[in-house]
Amino acid sequence: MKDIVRKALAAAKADYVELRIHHGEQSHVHYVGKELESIGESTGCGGCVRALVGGGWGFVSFNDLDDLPRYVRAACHQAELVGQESSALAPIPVSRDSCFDLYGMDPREVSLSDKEALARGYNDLIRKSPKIQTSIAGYRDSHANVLFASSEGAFIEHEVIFCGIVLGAIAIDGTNVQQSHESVANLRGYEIVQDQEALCEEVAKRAADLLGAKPIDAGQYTVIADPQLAGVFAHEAFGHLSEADFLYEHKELQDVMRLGRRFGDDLLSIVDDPTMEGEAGSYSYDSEGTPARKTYLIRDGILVERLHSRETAAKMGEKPTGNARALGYSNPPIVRMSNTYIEPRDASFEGMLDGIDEGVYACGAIGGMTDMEMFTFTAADAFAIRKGKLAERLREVMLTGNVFETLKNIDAIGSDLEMLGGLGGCGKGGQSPLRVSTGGPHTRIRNVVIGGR
Amino acid sequence: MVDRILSQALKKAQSAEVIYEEGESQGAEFENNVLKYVNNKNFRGVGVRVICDGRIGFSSTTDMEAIDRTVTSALESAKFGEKAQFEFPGRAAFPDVKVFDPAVSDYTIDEAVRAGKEAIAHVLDAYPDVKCSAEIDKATSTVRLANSNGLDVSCECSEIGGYIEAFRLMGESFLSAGDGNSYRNLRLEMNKHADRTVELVRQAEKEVTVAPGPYTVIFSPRAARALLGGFIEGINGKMVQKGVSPLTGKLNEKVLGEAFTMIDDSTIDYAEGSEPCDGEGIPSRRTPLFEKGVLKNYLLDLQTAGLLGMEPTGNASRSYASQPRPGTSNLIIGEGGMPYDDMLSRGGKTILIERLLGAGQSNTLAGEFSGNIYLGFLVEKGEIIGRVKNCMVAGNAYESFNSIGAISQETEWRGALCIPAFLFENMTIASRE
Repeated sequence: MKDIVRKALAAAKADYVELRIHHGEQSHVHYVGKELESIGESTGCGGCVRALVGGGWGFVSFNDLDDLPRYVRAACHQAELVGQESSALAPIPVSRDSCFDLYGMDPREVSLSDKEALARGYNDLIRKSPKIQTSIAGYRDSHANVLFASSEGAFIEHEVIFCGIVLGAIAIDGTNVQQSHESVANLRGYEIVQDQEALCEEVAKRAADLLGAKPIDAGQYTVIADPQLAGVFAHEAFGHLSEADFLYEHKELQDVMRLGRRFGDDLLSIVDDPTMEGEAGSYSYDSEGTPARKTYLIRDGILVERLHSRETAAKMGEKPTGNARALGYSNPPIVRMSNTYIEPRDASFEGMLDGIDEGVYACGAIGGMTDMEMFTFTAADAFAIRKGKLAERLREVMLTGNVFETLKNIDAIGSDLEMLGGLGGCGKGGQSPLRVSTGGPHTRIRNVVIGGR
Repeated sequence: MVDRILSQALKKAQSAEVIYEEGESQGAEFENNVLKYVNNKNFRGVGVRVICDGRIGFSSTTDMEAIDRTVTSALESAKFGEKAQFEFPGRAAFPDVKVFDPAVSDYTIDEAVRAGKEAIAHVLDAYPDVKCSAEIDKATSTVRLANSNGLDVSCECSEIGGYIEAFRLMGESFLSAGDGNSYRNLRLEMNKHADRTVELVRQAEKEVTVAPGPYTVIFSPRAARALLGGFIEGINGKMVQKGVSPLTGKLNEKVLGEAFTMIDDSTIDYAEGSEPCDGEGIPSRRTPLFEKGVLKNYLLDLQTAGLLGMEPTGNASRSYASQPRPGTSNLIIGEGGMPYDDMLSRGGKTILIERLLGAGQSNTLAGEFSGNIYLGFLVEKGEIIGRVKNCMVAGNAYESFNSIGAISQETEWRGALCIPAFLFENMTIASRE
């Protein structure tokens, strides 16, 4: 295979060409209520060629790996149609390497019947909990073997094994339907899906407890976000705006997002770091063969760096950060986050509660979205805060904010950093779900708008 | 190959089904006003479903050298699989639905590039300071579905879609406004999308602040999609079978306002969700879901119908890589009696919502909807006063659709959805105080 790839690339007529070949296998078990909805193993292979000519890109993807030279020619030809100027790619070390990212037991060594038994056990635990109408217990692992080669001579073989579970409970009382979900997934092997009975109980109890929660009244609140929601906040509120593909060809926007600009108080630092061992968003090289590294997006309140592909780095005169990631072989790499978190400080939870006359303690995350300036993030569970004390449970808590104001409203950050990855992930440019993790310590944010009836 | 897989599976299984899909897509992508990418994606894959000792097994692959392993995996998974509550359907007569347009096949990448450039030039003529992104994509694919009960059907489909979006920086305020659509025939409307984009950018030129409180709220056809999430989950037979749909046990009951009608219809020529049969070979049809607020049907695939003791509705949704699951094809929402312009000028303080951010990230199963109004306007006496920002709207669709203020006479096709605008009175808007 190596020789075929080398030959195919050598014949390319382009400023730059890269090729990826993916082989993979997945296995999954999915229980919903009494039924085992789906179980089994599947395999796949595919590849892609991306060519750069005069600043324009051509991209070809395929499942049939037999005729690589033809795909290389096609990608080069397409790039010629596009290219109108000069190509710019920031230099990176040419890597010849092979790496294997798995930090625990290989799930391929576990039989499908053991995986089924694991999911069934969790499912039964949730299903038999009080007030639960139906349960969800899913297991999934995927093994990907990716070969990356470029016309610059890079040749990287990269093997990753990602595995995890998703747990869910739906509780019903008349027309009141409440749900709760949790997912745990990363590169730490099969161990992470074992012994999760406590999480099952938590999921079931939360869904049941939400039946008695009252919908929140619309308004503006001081919010304490738990580590999971703080992570989603970091990802949505600032992470996406740090992705340089949004601004690399927009001079005025670059001025708004100039390095050195203050975005928050001294206590706020936001980091993206794919080199954290075993996290859901970790990798050694990105999909352009750039070595991964830790990047501070905000350090002590100041914008210090941003996330780059080789092209965005070159066009902005900055250094590539190793954040060009492709979801699979049918997608070109685009600028993405990896493991994104708010750095811990020293505030205690009690200290944060102190002085909140009326506020919300928002926990867990259903999801989050951004249009870059404005963002939303939805809590999975929430409690009212009154006169410095936790009070009744609330539901339908969707928070919103504006990046230029909200980050400045963070006025206390705890010490209890947690990183959370799941089987879901991040979506951008039609590439979803990309494995990422997010995290943070408990974080207090002033003046957050929350919708309600 | 399909026949070989079937005969191999039938050595152990009592019945079997194969789905094979192959196709090609081509696209032109523009970024910051210029052409950035031309892409060509070829794909193929095969899925095998078996019923072995009464239980369902499944596996899939894109690797044609792994076919034997895939059949073995499918048989292996049947050891654990759910008890089959159905038999694979035999040959049937399918309705004549147009889903392939040779003009889409013939459409060249050069034409796509020209259409994209023209649309961007049109927007830049009106607003030279915006940055446009645009994309035109077309795809053709063939699906073959065969089973051991004699079904063997092939269907060739085409699809082409385009969108354009303008990004405008006004001080430190961001505006993203655009439009797009897709069809199975060559009905690319890039110039119309460009006109609409210009109109939205113009309407958003001025920003106004609004106090929190109750407003008359209009969801444009595009935004109204966000309200339907709960109904789409609720009519899904899977949710009914699990007993978690709020519509469980309510067939033929009036659950929504009389003005509301919703139909699933996979037989409309060239609509994005059309097909001659569903993913299991059940003929396509028109299925009323809500008629004047009365719940008429759930959407069902074979297994779900079997579990519920009902007839399948031809709504098995799948790709080669997945087992079927009930899903919508095209959803047609009935029009109302009020001209759209009259809705705008009905008086009072009105918020017109064009796009919501975060919609769908709520407890949608319960009918909850919530979102930041990321493109919306304050309207007074039929005139758009300016863009509203930093506002949220939230509510429950099961409650709101029992007190719909008005539905527009006009409907719009948006992908696989044909939908009018909706007006609600006294909806709470949250904003910065």
